[in-house]
Amino acid sequence: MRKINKYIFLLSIPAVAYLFAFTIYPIISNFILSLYTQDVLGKLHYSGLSNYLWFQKDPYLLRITSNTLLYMITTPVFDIILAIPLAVSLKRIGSKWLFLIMLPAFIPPVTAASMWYLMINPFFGLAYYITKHNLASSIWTVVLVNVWRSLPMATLIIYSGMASIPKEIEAAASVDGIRGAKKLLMIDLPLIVPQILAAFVLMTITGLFTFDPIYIGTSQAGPRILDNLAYYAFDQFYSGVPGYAAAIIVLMSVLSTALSVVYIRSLGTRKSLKLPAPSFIPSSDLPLWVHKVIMAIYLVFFIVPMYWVIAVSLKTPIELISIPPTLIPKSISSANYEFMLSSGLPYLVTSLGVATINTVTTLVLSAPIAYTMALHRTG
Amino acid sequence: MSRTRGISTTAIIGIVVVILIIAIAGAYLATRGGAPATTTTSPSTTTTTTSPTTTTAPGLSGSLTVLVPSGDPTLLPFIQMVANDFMAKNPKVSIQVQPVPYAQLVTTALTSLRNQNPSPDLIIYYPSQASTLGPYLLDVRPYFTKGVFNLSDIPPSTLLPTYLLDSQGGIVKVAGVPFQQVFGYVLVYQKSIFQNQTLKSEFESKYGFPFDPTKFDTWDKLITAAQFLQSKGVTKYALLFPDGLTQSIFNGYVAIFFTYALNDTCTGVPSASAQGLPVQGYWAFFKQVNGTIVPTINCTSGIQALETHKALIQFEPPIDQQAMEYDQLRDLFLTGDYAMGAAWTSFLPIYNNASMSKVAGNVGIAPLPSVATGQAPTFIGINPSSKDPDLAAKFIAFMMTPDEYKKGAELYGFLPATYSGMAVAADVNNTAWVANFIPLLKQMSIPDLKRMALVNYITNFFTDLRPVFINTAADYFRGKISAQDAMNYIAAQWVKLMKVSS
Repeated sequence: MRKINKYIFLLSIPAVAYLFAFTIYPIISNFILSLYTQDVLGKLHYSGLSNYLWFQKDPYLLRITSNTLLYMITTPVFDIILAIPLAVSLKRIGSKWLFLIMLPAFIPPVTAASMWYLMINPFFGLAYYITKHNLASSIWTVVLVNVWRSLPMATLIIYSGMASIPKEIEAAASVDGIRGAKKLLMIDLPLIVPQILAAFVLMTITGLFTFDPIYIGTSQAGPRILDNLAYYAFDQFYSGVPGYAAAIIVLMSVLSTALSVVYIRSLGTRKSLKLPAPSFIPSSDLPLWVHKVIMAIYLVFFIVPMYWVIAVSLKTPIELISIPPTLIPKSISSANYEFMLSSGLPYLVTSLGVATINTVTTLVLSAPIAYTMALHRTG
Repeated sequence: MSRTRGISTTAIIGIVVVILIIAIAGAYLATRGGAPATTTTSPSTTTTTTSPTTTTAPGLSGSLTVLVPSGDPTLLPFIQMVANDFMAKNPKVSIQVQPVPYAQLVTTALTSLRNQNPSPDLIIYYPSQASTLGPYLLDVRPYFTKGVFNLSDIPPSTLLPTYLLDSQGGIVKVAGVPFQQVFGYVLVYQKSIFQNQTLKSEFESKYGFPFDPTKFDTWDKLITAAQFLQSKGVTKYALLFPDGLTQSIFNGYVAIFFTYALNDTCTGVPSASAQGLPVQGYWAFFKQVNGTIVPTINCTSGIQALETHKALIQFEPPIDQQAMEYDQLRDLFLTGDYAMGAAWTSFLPIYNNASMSKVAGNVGIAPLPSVATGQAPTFIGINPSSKDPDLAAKFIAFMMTPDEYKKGAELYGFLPATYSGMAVAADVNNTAWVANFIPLLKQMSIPDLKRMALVNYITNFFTDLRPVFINTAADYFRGKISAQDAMNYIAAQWVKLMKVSS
């Protein structure tokens, strides 16, 4: 057995301590809480497995679990299906558009959800011109917001896989007359299976932890209609039912742990996949303009919600409540920005501070343990 | 060479420049005194005002933080004004007002209270949050006993939501003090429409009762007036009524249910009598039969109430197009597209703000028919882990003095919760309308604390029972189910799901 270097062992202590304090302890503490119920005076009483037994009686749990699975499955499926053509077009046109494509990934989830719900408001939103139906009440709107935010990251992962395909292989395929869709099926996709898997698992986790679009959409859909397990646990906890919330979190932890295992294993995947390429699949490159059109469609999808929120932010209060809504602000008002930079300044400063502390803490804790793991080839 | 390199030096310089510009602009605006708030829902700053000008009551010292929900245009300015005045009188006291969006109030407050953090010292909350926060807040009864707060000046029905009751209706804690009165729902309307002589004479000759919302004393009269206005196309929609799927459909129904329940022996709700009018609340949804809690909403009055609710929402966009939650009730009436609407009185300053409302200066106010108007006061509670609960209590007492209330009413249209405060506000132009509601408030009584305690002991009332009601009532509004079937289903589900705490 190989001896562990003491120095290396010391390096891992901060991360291990962090793991115990902020992961293991909360998990145990949460499990203990799940064995209690709270009375109307706020006191906790031991109630054994009663919270778990309520799972059988809970009228919403089936719907909520199926919603959880729906978000968990549809988000990565749509992401992957949509990311592949975008990554192909990016590779053909060039990565200069990547910056614009990545914008949604940098927008906080609650902001992204607010953007979409502003846009699909049937009176004051862009949706006024499209449909009289309230899109906010649909469960698929939650999926749409999820996909909008996570698609850029999935695209980046898949694009980076495509960009790393050796030039020799590309050249050999070209010499053999394998191009376009046929090349995508026979050469590119089989070679980037690890990236696709990694993107799939990451986006599955995004889907599992969906929260903000549900939080914002519930007032139009109705209680429990959009909920997933994460939101349901939150709602129970802050409605004075912490024991049952803890039991739901235990259920979720089982699911997310299983996903983590899959994720870690997929990262180590080095297998390739052989895909069928029937003869009717064309073996010629699509014209450049087709790629440009594809790119334009995606950019519209990414940018329109952002445009809308900027337009709304520049409107005067009276124009904001105009029906039908104006597509371009009639008169520009900077009042909201002035307000943000004066009254909202503490929030801006707090956001920057929290982001900095998070980054520094993560780096300080993870760098030593990553070094240790790399050195010992563990993990 | 790869085309996708790291961030370039130019980009880094650009980012730094942008951050600097934001910081400089922010500093400039902060020193300028801040820009005026243009929307009522935006969170406001965390400010500490120093520079007291007068010193009249030396001796107090310490610091306080007050957690205030944003969204109500009068609340935050009033609290800040009181904080400034209190600091002016007590130079050794510093008060920080910490605004928080309404939706995050409970999570923010509970996180502090559960972890026994000393800050915030004071927490402002609403009736629907009382049962969640109440168990963690300080019992303020000793301050009533010591005379710091004046119990006789507070309407009993207004104080009721702060009570933590045992299963026999005994008061085990009073978790705060009401300091702001909000009536709701009230009927708001565009005055100019009801002053139109042509419409008035046509309506009165056709229906035989006054074309005056203050005289609509039954639901039928309100619905008839709305039908008339809709047929005339005076505005796009005749009436805005709550059917929001988070909360307002439930609150709207409570108001209607109450008017029918008072005359229905099946509900066991005492009718209006010399003792007064029973205070509205969720308590009326349950009664005790042979020691078991049973729902009352499947009584005839419950079904009638649901039918009336559906009749009232027919004049607005359908529930699947736009459910009318708190925000919509507040914002859509501003557009001028609605002739009448159900509203909270806290919306009035927004409706009358000409910079954001098309109905400013044209808003009339009346109680809802059949004494359906209830109250939703705002409370202030003390954190038991506060470093100085006595100072916090003194701040509350100062806030509730007639002088502060008068200033609040004059400057912001703030509505006090005490009898003396309301009397002062009734003399101020901004809030003179409250005079019409004081008799209603004096009429409200608390008939039976033991029965009122029942709903508090259903631990999953909000998490399980309320969603059943909301979704089933919404299905009735969509035409998927009859009113009778809806109420029977809700009652059966409630019985099945009810968790009763010992």
